Amino acid sequence: MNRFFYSRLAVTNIKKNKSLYLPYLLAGTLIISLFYILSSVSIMVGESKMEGGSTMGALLVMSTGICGFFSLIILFYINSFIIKSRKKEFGLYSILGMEKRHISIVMFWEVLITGAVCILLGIVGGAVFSQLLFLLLLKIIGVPAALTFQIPLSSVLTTLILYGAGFAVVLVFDVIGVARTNPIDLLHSSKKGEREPKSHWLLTLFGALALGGGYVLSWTVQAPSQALVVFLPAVLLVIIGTYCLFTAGSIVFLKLLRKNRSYYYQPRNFISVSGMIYRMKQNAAGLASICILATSVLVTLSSTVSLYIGEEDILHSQYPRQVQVTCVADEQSSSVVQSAVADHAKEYGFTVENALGYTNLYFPATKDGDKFNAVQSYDADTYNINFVPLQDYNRNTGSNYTLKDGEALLYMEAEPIQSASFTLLNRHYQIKDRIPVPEFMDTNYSTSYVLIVLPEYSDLASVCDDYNKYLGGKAERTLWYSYSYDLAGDKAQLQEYYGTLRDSLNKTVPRLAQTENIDNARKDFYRMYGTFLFVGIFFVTLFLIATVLIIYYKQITEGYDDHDRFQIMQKVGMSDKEVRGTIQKQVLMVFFLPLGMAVIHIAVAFKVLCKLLLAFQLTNTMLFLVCTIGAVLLFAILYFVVYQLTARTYYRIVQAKN
Amino acid sequence: MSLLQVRNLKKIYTTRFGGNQVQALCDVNFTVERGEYVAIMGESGSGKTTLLNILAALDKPTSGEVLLDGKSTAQIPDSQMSTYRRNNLGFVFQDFNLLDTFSLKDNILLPLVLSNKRYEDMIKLLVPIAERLHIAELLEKYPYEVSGGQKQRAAVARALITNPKLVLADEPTGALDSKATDSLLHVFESINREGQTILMVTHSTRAASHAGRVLFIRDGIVIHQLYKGTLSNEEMYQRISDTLTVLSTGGISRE
Repeated sequence: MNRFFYSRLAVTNIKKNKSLYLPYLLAGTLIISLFYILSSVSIMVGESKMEGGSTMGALLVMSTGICGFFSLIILFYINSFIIKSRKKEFGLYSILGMEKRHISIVMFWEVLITGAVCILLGIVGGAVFSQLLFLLLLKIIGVPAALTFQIPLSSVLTTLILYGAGFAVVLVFDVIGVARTNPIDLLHSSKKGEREPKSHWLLTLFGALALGGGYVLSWTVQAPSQALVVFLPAVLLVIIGTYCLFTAGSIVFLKLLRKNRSYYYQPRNFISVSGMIYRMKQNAAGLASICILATSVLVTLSSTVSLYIGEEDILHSQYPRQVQVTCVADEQSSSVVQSAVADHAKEYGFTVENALGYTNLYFPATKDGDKFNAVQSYDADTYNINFVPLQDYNRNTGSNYTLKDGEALLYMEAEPIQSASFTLLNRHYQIKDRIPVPEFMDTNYSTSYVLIVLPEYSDLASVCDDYNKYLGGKAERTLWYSYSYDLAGDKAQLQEYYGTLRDSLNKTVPRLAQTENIDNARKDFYRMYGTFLFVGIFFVTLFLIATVLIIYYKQITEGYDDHDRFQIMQKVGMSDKEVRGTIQKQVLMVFFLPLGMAVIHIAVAFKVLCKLLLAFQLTNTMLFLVCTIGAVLLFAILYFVVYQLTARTYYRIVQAKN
Repeated sequence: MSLLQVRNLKKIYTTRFGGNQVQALCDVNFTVERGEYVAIMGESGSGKTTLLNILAALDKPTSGEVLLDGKSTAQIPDSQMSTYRRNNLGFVFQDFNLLDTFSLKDNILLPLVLSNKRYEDMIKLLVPIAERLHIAELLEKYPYEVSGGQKQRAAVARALITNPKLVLADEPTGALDSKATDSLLHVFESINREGQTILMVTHSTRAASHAGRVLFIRDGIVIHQLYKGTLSNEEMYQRISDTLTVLSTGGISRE
């Protein structure tokens, strides 16, 4: 036998099955270049020695790993589709006298060729685009950089090894799959009469409970810190629920429909319902996967984009003014800090504007009726209790409240105290007034925020003493003085000003804690959320590729199944139009079910996602809502386009004459 | 007037590439009277299936016409074609063509459901037919759960349930073992005795020997026919196989 026989046969096979292999090659190439790009960008970031590059690098490396993992799963999934649809072909080879050993050799060549093409094109494509995407990353995080062309050898090697191994495992699975079936089975594997699926009531109930549980969990979340704890279990419950409901619930539902005779024995429903029962049996897992993937795409896209867009909001809530100085407070703090800041500003020709200064005490406490119980540390149930003296409050808000001894002003999130007074650390306070959100303070904490305004500085000091005594030395808290201000003057001096601020203040201000400024914070923010967005784009692309592929291969396999059914229905007396109508209805139902479910998931998860973003300081719910709706619309359009494109292939297969 | 009249039927297939023409039917003429049981015999490639497809209005003739109850099938607009087919014709196929997503009952009811019948009315029609064909106990089963003979009986029930003018059977015994074949042929005989007109295409001598008349078709022409008259099935079998022998050795020329 010619020694090129097997390789030539493999090439012919791939060409002949191009409707199966072309999308596979395309997707494989894309996936591998995505991986290569992430890997090489993380190396470029590491080598660029840019400020904060190591954190970004670490985040990118982690994402590269996750991306690699998902991409391998996608490759396996597609491959299993292809092998399933080619079983008959392998059966034919057996009949024609090829042994399984020979089939394995052909398979080896096929996997070798497809693998080599994907890896090679993937790396080449990746190398071409990695530089562009590196620049995109720099643009996103707002760092200017020149174009340099770079192909990190280690990325090439990692890609080669990872996917080389991946394709090797694919081959092993294929060979085992063929070895375990006999030729007759291979030949008839697609023709076997499929058993009607059973109704699994228990699984349906379990799925409904899991989904309901997940929904309830995410709906009842109050505080952001709770959201962090609850999110993962809720996601897991929803995933489990989705899979159970798609696989078991759909069949139970359809069978109930079938039992309803006046509904079922209608021309419209008769064929759809019975067809759907089988369709769901074969496709439930795939559809549930599409649903979960779609949900992940939507969540990733909407949250990374809104975090990135919302950066300025977040910054301004954390930094009400350009510069923020904090020190451990005593009664002189305000005058000492203010004069020190003014002196230092003068050196660089700046004047201090819009200053906000206040003394502040904070500690965690739990609520019990109208009583606060001070505790040592923050957790999901605690309130973040803040104290500010009346004078500071009035000055910063422009109000003129007066308070007598034992009176207080109160602002409270979550479940506010309803009565007219409250108790804290054995002191009783009359609530003189409820005040609105204090704009001059940063209230975006992951625990519910409480502000108590007390008459004098000395009241804060005694509360602080009480707290420290009450906890018996387990926690030591102090009063803080916080001073924030804007600068007016020559912007060119800013970096130098920021650079010397701390040393200059240290000379006069005792126990200086932090000197922060919004400009440097902004850079940090952009680096962090920019990287999130960048990685988000990659995962969205990856998930989209997976979704598109699943839809495509589902359409093809469905098409071959429906072909025979279509022929019979026509012979039995359905018109071409009727047949097409029912098929279209079913296909639409099958493919838009996951999208609909994903939208429901998102809608329910919206609240908990808002809380999660709050943990990242994003308070702009409107922005997130717009981003989410935008993401859903974009995804729906894309989904529809993909559906239309693949539906064409589907109809071509269904309507093919024997 | 005859139930079915076939006049000067001609069918020419043109291959997709190039102008190669294949003449499947040259000039077919015959009539079927109400209540007749006619078998059409011929070898593979003789044009039987083409003829049946044209009779079923699944395919259009190149020239000539088919009249069912005096009405030409060519004059029925495409939009009403499937309704027409459903109401006037019953089909029995070699490979049963049952949908495996339906139970036997639903398979049988399919044409009625498509005609928007009420469920109660459908059941009234279903019960006696299922009894007659001995599948009453199998109605809730699925095609993959029953034998070939049972599947074919369900297919016959589906063909009969609309009370069609004409039952067209395409090699109905082709996929059955000899026992199931006998049983099916008896079913055909008995429904024919009750007045059902049947036209069956086959190349099984045994199947044809049960028919009242056998038409022989070769190279797209009906070249001979045999009436059963008072002959027994066995005698008819002998006559048919004699005829086939003569035909295949080329003894009989065109009439």
